[in-house]
Amino acid sequence: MVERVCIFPCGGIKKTEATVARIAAYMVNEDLLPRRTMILCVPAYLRGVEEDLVMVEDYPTVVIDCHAENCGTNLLYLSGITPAARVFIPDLAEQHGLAYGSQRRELEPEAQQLAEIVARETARAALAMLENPLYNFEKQRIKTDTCLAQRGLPADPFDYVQLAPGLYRPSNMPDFFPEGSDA
Amino acid sequence: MEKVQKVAIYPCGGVGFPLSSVARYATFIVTEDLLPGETEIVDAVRLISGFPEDVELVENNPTIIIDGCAYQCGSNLFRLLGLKPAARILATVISKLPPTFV
Repeated sequence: MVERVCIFPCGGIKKTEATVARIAAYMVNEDLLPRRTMILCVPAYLRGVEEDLVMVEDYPTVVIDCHAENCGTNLLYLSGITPAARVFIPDLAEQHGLAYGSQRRELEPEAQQLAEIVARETARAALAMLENPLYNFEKQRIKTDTCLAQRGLPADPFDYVQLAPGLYRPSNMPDFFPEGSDA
Repeated sequence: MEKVQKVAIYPCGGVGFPLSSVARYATFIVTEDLLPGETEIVDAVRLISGFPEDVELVENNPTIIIDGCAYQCGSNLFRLLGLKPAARILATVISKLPPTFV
């Protein structure tokens, strides 16, 4: 049984949608699933802070990618970790007809609404992992020889399978929604 | 000696401590209000993904790192990548908080 789920907002700063990802992660961690989720801190992860390494090795990770550049997914790929699921913000923005706005410091109302939708979708996947008794997550090991800069990256490193608009699972990771339920 | 055209600003960018949000917010103030066009934000995840414009930004321009706490994740990332920052600001000293806090 999974005790906690790691939430990994892409960690970017340049794009407004990166703020959407970060705010959504706070909503999941503080409001929707408090004490049942943890947020991965990219700089701490790269620095090798123990709790951030354990977070992705011992618990399933939901990565929130804010853009087609897939920086969150790519970081996990480079360090040898397969996420349990990916939430892809552009899909959800398109599905709900919401824009990111232009303010990176504090989100504008429409982007705030998008962050709430991203948070709900992230929490939905995380809750399935937490409560589905048949969900079987196997611990992983981080590659310790990772030299991160300027590596070649495949376009779709985890061969993502779409479960719902904006929600994906790597093709070789177990399904988390109970059998027969709608994703 | 060639005049510096642009300065890169790299805030620690973390999510665990409030001071990382302070570092990020301060960077937006510098790049959008105080020195627009003369400064540019370093995005760590883009940098380690190897996006050419982000790699060139830190290779060709001086970088100021804003570390949020004593973990010094910003400084350490640069060390791991073999880069040297031009300067470092440690937010805990300015805030008069202990180096690492919860």
